[in-house]
Amino acid sequence: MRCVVLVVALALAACHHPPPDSPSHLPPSIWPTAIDWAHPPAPEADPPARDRTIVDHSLPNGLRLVIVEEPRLPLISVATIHRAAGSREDGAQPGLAALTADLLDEGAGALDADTFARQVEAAGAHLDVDIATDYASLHATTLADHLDATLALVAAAIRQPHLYDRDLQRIRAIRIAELAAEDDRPRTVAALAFDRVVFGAHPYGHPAEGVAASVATIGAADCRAFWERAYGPATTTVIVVGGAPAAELERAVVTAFGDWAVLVPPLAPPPHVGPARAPVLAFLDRPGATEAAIVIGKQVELAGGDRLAADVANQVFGGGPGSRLDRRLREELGVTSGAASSFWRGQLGSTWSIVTSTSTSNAARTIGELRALIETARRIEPTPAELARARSLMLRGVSGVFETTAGTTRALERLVVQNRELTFDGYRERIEQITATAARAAIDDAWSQPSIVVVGDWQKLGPALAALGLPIQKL
Amino acid sequence: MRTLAGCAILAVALTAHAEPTLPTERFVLANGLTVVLAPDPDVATVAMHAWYASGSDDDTRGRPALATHLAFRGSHHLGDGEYERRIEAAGGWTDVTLAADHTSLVAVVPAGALGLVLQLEAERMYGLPEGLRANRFVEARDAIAADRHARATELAVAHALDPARPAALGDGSAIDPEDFTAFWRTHDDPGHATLVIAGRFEPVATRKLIERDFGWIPRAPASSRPVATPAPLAHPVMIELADDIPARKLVIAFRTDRPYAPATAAIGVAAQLLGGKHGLIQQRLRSATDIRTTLVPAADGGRLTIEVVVGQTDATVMRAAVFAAIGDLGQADLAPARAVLDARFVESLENLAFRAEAFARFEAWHGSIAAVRASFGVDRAALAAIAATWLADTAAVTAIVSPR
Repeated sequence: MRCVVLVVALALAACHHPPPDSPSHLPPSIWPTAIDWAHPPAPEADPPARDRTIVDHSLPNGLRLVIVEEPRLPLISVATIHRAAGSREDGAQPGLAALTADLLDEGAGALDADTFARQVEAAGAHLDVDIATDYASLHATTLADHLDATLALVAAAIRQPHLYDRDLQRIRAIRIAELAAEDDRPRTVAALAFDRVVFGAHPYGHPAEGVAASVATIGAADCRAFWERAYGPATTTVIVVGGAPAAELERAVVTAFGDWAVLVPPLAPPPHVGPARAPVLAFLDRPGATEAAIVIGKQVELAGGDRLAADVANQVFGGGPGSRLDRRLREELGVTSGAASSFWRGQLGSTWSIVTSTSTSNAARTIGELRALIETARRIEPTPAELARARSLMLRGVSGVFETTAGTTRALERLVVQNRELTFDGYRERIEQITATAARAAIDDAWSQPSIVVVGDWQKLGPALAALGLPIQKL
Repeated sequence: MRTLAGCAILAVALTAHAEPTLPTERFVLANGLTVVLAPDPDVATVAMHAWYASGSDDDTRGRPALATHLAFRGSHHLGDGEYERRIEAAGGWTDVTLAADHTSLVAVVPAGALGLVLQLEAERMYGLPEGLRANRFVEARDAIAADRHARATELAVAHALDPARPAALGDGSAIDPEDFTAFWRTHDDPGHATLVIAGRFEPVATRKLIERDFGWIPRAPASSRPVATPAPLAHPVMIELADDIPARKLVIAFRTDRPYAPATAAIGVAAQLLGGKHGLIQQRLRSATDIRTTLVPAADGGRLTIEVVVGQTDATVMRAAVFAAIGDLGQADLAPARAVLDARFVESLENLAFRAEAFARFEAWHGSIAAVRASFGVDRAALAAIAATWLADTAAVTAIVSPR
């Protein structure tokens, strides 16, 4: 009854001086006829991106230095990349590299953890530590006036970290709590399981942050030993982007790192990831789960032109809103709030995968649709409109990256860690040369026999998934 | 000596780069539309910020709030949602926000789509009332009610701070299309608007486009907004509220002076010093808790709000800790707060949407990049002064907010 009253009230409200259902009855228009109001202009071609000069050389101690001037604002972005400090370097203790990196800014040199944090604040700086599979990195953003102070703090964190046990205990407890929280995120669980399925026992197969059982055993002495063998000038790259002359930026880096003379052991030969594994259906049972997280994909080998063709193909296939995956699964079927495909690219191997989640009742249908979409993409070339849209989005994405000093730094970081040339020259031309045939071929080569990982309720999903005919691997 | 000379040159070079170099050009069309062009050839996108000087404080009936909910629901030539769809199809995004003294519409697009954005906004500026459709109008009125529910605590505190102002967001139920159209024509016309374009564009061609697309829109008769003189609240106010929150919280709010006034600048630094996990309030509390300080500027005076999650703790004790922390402002170490505020402000200017908004604020509230940066340099005496006046115990609204 209450609902009926509300509906009637709303109807009456709507009837009170009702606005028109169409604007056609309106009084004579004053709209200028010289403008085609019904057809706003289509976007024009974007102007070419500004060229940037990139300084790239090594200091006498072996430290690689990359500098880009961005003169608009007095902001400086710094990244230090440590190639021997990635999680695959920590051998039998998954999570050691991440814990060591997390401890770097918990007190260094003459500053305890609180004083260090206050000094960072006094420099108006952010300081963040990232851990990746192949490397660790520190990022700082500050004003040009505080460049020396900020670089001094970054250098202290890298060269003189305290790595005290009391700080380790606090950071380790936080890390273990974070890892436990990940267990509540089915998509994250599925993504981590996918890495295990694809890379097996290779270090790429376990998470960079480690696992709780391993992290709990790591002590301060382990971190110090790892720091001593992983952090040195010869395995470090410093990227500085920002609003000061290149010579000034270099002077500041040399002041902070020029006398760093520590020798670290040469990098061990990287372990091979091996060939792509046979496809499986891997399942992590979550009894009673109402949602299922799904990852489909495989290890891929992409280089040179293939890589760019794959990027274009990915944009068409699953590169966000408007892609084939998104249109079919979200817009047409409404079975998921989002489905996207993407690459993970390591120095030794890469993956190309689709990640999505859906209700348990829609899971089998969603997987069937995904497999059909993959097969269609392997057979049918992108349309000219799809290709044009993909090129446009990719070019705009690259242009947008360079609008902030931090974005430019991150873009250069990706090139450095992937051992690629530090340039985006010719990117537009190379993108425009990718044909529909090349894009289809990239998907055809990469997507034969992918593996499937599902996190969900096995009792409800098992029979339908078993019918897919893939070997089932319970995780 | 050679080294010293080198250092001197480097120091001069750094000083020369210490201020942002973001040139702007300002002009006013014959119909009163103020335009600020901030070209930046180093980027690939462009932001448009349309600032309309009518906000929730300008109408007791909620017509500005209604306008935000109708912003993308069609106009004379455009269908429901077409504004957003066209911008998204061009690779951009758009949004509209309502503040106490203004409404903002922002769109960020690749540089080649600026012509599209300008024409869409000109269409919306004049044609929005001509596109009103019955079902969308009713939906927008319902949305205001939902907004009021979602912002219940904020609105109650704001009203307690200044009972003379209309209850924010108003009551949209009494609005009919004729009322709305009349309000729109007199408040969202070119004479009450500022258009800022920031990013990659060619200024001469863009000026011509703006003149063509916006120059024909009629200007409303001049209206004078009543000018209030901001002052601290004369008497303390205590209220108890219930809201959809997980744990009981203490909300303490104060009036502030006009944007960029010396007292407001000092209150901005005070907000930085008081909040956060290392801030003065946290230092006065025995156990860690969530503390948030929010400074909301407005032309006729804004407000500072301090929110502390108190849970089962005695709120009176927590309130005393907040005022003890405010009393500490006169002895605080200012350098970190100044540095953080300055760095975050400059950093925000990298983002074109924020940059365009900053230039719109400067135009409306008479500021500049240099003035904002200088305002962070307040001293302890200024902080002690605002602690004893604007942030005094006797000038506060205190709300104890319990979970419903």
